[in-house]
Amino acid sequence: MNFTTHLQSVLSQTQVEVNQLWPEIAPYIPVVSDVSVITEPIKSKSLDKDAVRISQEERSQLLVHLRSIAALPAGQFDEASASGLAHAITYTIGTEVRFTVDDDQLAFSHGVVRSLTAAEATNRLWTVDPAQRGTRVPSNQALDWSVCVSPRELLPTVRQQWQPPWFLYQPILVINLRSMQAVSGQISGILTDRLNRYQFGASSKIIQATSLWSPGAQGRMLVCFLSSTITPGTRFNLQTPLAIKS
Amino acid sequence: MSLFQSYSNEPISQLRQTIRQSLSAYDQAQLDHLLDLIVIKTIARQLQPAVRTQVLSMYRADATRLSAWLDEHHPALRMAITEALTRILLTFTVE
Repeated sequence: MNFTTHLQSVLSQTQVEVNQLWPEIAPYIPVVSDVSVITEPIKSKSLDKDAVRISQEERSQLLVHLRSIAALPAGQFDEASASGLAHAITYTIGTEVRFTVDDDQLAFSHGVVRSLTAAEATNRLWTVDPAQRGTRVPSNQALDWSVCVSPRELLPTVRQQWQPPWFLYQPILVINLRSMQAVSGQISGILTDRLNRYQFGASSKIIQATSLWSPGAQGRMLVCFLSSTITPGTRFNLQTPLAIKS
Repeated sequence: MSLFQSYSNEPISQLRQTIRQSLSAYDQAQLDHLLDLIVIKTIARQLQPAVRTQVLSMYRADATRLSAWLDEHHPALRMAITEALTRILLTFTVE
């Protein structure tokens, strides 16, 4: 048997084995054409519209995972879980998300939300230096899509002496863990509820856009950071591959 | 950059170069394609289906970063992959 024949034989056998072991990856493996040119597979390097064509199995697994999170006590993810979940959500909505910002992590990434009063949603507690990270002063429109989060540490009692927290004005994605509706927003402040009954406070627009208080939702939501700037109020349905513009 | 090159060490590189010397351009590409398949097959055999879904997402995003992620979360996989690559290359050098 000459070399080429042997190579083809081994190649064919290996291809069959890969297709049997891991059929989901087969469409994304480059192929070699007769002119020795590697034909690029379906996969996209950038997050364009093709990237949101997540496979149905991947989407189903993500939805099952998110619904299982809704049944858990409010909490935070370990690094490995956060990384995998962030990747799956990224490919579902076509925009990169993550659960940390420069290795900083919220106290809770999933939990129960309550409505913010109008005063809470628009109150700016700090005089913000725009040169500081994550402290872009939002427009009033952006504050319509605001979320307050629980701080990780106990805070001083005199608010005016606080330094703006690292997560202030970071763009986020809020996901309803029951209906899989999501909307982009911004962290605008700190939730000062005692006893941690609620982990998040959200403006009425966010609650309405994601139906967080619809029957069955029970206010369970997940928050992740958006890596790119998206107009606050942009809605997504994780059960379909298309983004719904606000 | 092909997937297998993230796992190419000195012995693998030398074996590959030795084999490539006598191959046409097309066969050289086929050999590299086979090495990529060996990497994927090893990952498929070593990882649970739930983890493979994550791996697939990252492979689609940027295959060059996949090895770094696997090294961090599944460090034993590198040795398995390099062994598999070495074995398959040796089959083409034994007369």
